[in-house]
Amino acid sequence: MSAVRAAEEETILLVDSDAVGRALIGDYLRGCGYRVLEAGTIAEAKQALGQQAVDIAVVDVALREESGFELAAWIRTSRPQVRVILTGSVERAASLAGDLCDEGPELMRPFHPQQLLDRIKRLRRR
Amino acid sequence: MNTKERPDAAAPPVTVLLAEDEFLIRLAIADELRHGGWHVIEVGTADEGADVIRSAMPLDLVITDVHMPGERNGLELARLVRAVRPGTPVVVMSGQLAPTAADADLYTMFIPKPASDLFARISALLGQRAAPESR
Repeated sequence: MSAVRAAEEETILLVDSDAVGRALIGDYLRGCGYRVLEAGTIAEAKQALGQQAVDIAVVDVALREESGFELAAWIRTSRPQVRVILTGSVERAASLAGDLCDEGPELMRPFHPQQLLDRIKRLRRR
Repeated sequence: MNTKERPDAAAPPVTVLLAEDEFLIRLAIADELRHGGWHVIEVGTADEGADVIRSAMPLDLVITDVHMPGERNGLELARLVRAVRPGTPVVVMSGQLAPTAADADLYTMFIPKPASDLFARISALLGQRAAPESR
């Protein structure tokens, strides 16, 4: 139970333009005790980051008509305390993803929510 | 989630699409509905909501704000629900729009914002007992 209590202290921001997939992953993480915020666009994500204390941002690199890399770079400079995990469906240069991602490499789709949870746990242990 | 205290713990959870562009309002509503044991799909625009409406995702209810960024507003989303999922109840919320007779066919319930006791009011609409887990 202590692991669940520890997880409750963490807030995860999920940034993904697929609302259904986002909800499924969000519910999985909520079931593990995390507080989960959801955003479908960069603007929404920035709104969430401006209004809520976020520990980890899980950012899909291919947002609708937007680049998750752009958001990750913004987080790096504007919210450096927020750790970033990138997800995507296309292999990127390791150096690019590595610069913007705290627990890499980019998590390739399709992935099971447990894989994402494993990365979140690895970040928490650091 | 403490399912033991939910009134219909054995039944599948109500799945609701929630379209609201104001992040904090959406978060508060989503938290309230999840607290009641519902499964919530959040979207920040009616356009994003339209993708969910057109998907194969089972939905028991749609809750939508009216004024949102994007190509369509919440009433147009409600119109799409009526066309694609005609049996699905639609709750329209707005702090600016007063419901008109012309729009009345588009929604099952209109709730002026700021909305209070949303879960209880909508549960009544769905014929469920409004008994969130631990209040």
